[in-house]
Amino acid sequence: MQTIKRTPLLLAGMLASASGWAATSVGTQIENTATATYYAPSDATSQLTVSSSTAFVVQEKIDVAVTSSTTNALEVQAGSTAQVIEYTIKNTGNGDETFDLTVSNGTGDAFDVTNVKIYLDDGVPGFQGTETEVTQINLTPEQATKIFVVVDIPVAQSIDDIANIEFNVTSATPGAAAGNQGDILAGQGDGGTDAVLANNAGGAIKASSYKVTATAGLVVITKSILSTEHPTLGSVKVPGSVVTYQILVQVTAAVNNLRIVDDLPLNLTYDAGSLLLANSNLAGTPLTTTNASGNTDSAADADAGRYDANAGSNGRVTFVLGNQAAAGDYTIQFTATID
Amino acid sequence: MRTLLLAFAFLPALAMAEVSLITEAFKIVPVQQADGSVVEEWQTPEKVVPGDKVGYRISYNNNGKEAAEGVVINNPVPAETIYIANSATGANSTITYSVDGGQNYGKASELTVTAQGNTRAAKAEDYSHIRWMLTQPVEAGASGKVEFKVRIK
Repeated sequence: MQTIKRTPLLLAGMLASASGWAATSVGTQIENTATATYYAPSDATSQLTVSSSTAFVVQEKIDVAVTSSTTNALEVQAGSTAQVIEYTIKNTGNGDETFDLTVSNGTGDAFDVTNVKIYLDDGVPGFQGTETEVTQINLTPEQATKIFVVVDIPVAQSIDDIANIEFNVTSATPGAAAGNQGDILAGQGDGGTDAVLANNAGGAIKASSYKVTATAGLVVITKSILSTEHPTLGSVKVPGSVVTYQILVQVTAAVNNLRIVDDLPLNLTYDAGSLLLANSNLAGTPLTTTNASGNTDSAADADAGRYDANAGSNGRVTFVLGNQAAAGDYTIQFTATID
Repeated sequence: MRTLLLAFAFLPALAMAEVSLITEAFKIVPVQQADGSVVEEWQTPEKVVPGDKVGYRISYNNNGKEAAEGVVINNPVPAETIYIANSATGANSTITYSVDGGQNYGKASELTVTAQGNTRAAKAEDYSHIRWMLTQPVEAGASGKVEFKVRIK
């Protein structure tokens, strides 16, 4: 038992020593001095010494490594939101470097993911949705950081549909993105050195995919806050700020008696007469009476929308959409003011 | 007056063996040839980055009037670099290495390293110094060279 247990440890140690060098910092001067000693036959007691030196400066190597948490396709349900793939980006070069982060939809697949966002890990394990969106990161040599790519899956997708994405991490040094491995970017290294592009021309691409393993429900509802605006203070969440809510209703097949109910949270007051309804997917676009129809708060009239101040704990918005003969989308919007 | 004094100072040295050394560094670049083979070219050491191979050439020349005997060339492996196994060359020389900062030298096969109580055969990356002991005197006016290669950490 003892021997068996020791073997992995030894192997691990060997691997670490074989590749564990920290890259020499950019700007390091590497000096070599050779020394020779010798005797002259006429005076074999006096050893003579001579030496000679040469030096050069290590330039900046731009290199990066990207790995992802999922090697297989991420299994998703059609219509699901905030599907997360986690990536780790490591600066494997020897200088401070800024990297541009982008996600591109792949080709030759069944569908494209939507609402793609890139977040920087805040150190709290997992993705909470409170992280900061990023388009660039700065990394010191050997520094690694986690990034979350968060996407939505369209509701219409079928089982086994695949979507491919590419997560691109590219050096922001001018000339790096369009460069090839081995290219030299004169004067672009730290401290006035030259920068040399290493693997993947100073950038790295990590391909990932999503596989639909469950179809969407008959109705998929996505609620979001479009904006929070104070009349005088701007986009802040303080008493008096107006919160604009949107509810995207995606009907994937015929349903009867569809009714959307949304109870208001506490500490908000519904803004009377703010109900709007569009017969299409306008999620993310502010609804007005131009692109949507205003609905009265009354339950007695013919329109779908109504507001009941006495329902729920703090009032209730209801849209009675009735029988749906086929798939289709609705966008609902209303506003409330922070007490 | 000054000129005269300088001339006198050099006279004894000129009368004997006088070996000079020149150390040069080169960036080793694999270059594909027309026939498809790849040959390592030694180029000027510009644009050296981590992971690159660097070659050192130490040229010796006896400018004196007598032969130089017992010539030993020592070269520490430069900081931030790793010696590449079997890369040291030199005509008519015995090449030994040190793994203890230049105190003791031995042939590659004889060197060991003790770490955390375990003794193992030394690897090229353990070498701290390289030594060439020339087996023949360097005659007056004669020259030669030794070489070795490292990789930048």
